[in-house]
Amino acid sequence: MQDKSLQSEALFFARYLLNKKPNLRETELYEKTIRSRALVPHERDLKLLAFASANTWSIGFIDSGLALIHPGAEFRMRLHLMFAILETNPEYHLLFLTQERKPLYALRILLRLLRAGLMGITGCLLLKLIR
Amino acid sequence: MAAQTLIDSGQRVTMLDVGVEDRHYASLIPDMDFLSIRKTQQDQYRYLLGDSAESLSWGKVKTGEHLTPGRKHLLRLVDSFLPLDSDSFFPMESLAYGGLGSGWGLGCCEFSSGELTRIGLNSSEIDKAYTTVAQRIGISGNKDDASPYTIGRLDTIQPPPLLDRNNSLLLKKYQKKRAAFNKNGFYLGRPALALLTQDLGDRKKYAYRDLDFYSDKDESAYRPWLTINNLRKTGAFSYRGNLLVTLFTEKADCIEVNCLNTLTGKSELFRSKKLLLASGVLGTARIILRSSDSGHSRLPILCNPYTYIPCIQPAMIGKAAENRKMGFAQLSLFHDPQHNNMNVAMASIYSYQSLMLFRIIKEAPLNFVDGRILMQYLASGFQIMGIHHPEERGNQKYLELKADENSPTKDRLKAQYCLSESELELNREREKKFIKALRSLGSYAIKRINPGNGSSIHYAGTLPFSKTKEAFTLSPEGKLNGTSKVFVADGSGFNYLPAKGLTFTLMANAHITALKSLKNG
Repeated sequence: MQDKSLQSEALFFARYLLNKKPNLRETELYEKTIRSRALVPHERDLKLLAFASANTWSIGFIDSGLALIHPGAEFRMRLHLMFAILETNPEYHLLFLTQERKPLYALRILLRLLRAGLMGITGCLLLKLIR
Repeated sequence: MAAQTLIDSGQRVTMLDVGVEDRHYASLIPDMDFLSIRKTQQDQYRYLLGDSAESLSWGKVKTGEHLTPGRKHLLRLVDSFLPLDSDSFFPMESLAYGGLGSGWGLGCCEFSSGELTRIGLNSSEIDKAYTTVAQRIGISGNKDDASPYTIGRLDTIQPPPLLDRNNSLLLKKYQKKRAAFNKNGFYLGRPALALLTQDLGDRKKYAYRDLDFYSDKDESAYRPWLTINNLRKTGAFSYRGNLLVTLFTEKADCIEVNCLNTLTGKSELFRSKKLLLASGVLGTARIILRSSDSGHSRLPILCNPYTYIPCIQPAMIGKAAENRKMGFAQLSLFHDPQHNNMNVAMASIYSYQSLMLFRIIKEAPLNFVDGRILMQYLASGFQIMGIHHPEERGNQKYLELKADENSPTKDRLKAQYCLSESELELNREREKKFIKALRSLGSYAIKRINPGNGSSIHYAGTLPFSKTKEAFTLSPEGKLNGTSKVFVADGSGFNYLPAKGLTFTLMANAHITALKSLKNG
């Protein structure tokens, strides 16, 4: 995997996860970790990564679909890595540390779950098409 | 612990040990609490996640997966020097300085007289040893419903640490339903922990930084390396590191101990008047099997079955991150259906904060964006209940040492561990009772996770105590039968393994074995 490809991957994953651009340290840690794991992604995973790179709107659907049918996929592992890297950025602590919420927040959570469910179904269909 | 007893008795001791240490992460962690670190420190990723993100793991939950970067050294060199093959047993071993104790959850439990007798230990001797060990390491606890299973008869204890809001609520609800719980054999209370709530010597009381999974900076949590460090200041104790003891030979006038230098790969030979083995049950098993010329290669093993159950406490959902949180178990729930302190199962209850969202988010069948929002909301209500079951012998629970020219020690351990159908059924039924008990306190199980046989990290019974003097057993004094000057000071001799945390009893046994070794020749 080319460094530039990993750099753009770090960028579009961070934008997807938090709508933020990763800083240099985050991008470097992402690249370094992927390279050090020395995994050889399955052709299917490479296809997904290439598709997501060219169609960044699809990342959420791919993520949602894989979460249901293949949560251990390389695509999800890489997203998880970027998630963990972003979690350790102090600027984003409010997005990760638990916060005091009013009771009505539970409604927002229900809507989120509904959204996640719909994205999951759509994602599964999209995965079939991509593969 | 045995070494300290010997030094205190005026002996000269040499400790042969591999002694892997963390020389990288310990110094990176600032003198702050977890929440302050999270909010301010740019380099927190280094010790919370790892310089190579080594905290991330995927696939089936493995023993030791929870280890943070600062604790990963517990596993270093193990694959190389302690090879083990099994498709049914997945233990955790360590070559760390201070051994597995560097990752110990600090739970201290006195075993009952009945349990000690069944193990093959002398209960009055062990009772005295409990007091000695407690004075050395510092224990905090409480006299409550759990104390027959925790502090027992100890009176030299410090006050318990503060409870967080999750566990305060659980305890409050228990107190209203106490009679019904006790009638069903359930007893809830504060665990006894090897954690200081008052200063002890140079060690400081617990500061509630919630960095328990990452650092031992203040030395408020007892770790065996503290004892080794203190002993190394004495003239009578010699520590030799980077040495893996491989086998021994008893001669007429000495014991020859062969070691493999883990840095150079060369063999080194030591001679001593006596030998005390305390390499951990699996490590000791390897040494004993290698040292025997009988051709015997199989030993039994005991290991508490273990399941952990993530739970959700709805009353605590949507709360702000809490200062003064603790990573160690805050409550212990014991199941003693016969009310006789025998065959007791034990659950430890933990809150969740400092291990962060990344460790749990992959468990949700959701995309990471919605998953983050959901987990951030739920996390303040998360609890983990870890259940240990008592353990008996079985024909399908054993270790074997097999030749392997490719290994540095020319052998590897093979393990087989299967619970019988009746054991599996008993454990399942017991877990259902625990789940029901916790539900009645307002904490609801999400799912059961079996991390695999061996994941309790409680091992015993490879060289059962025996008065018959047959080979591969220990005398009641801890001497290896068939030898005159070799003693075993770990849990190898236990004939039975209670579910309660065994480390405190291991330390007490080590102290007693060391004393007895002095009386022997």
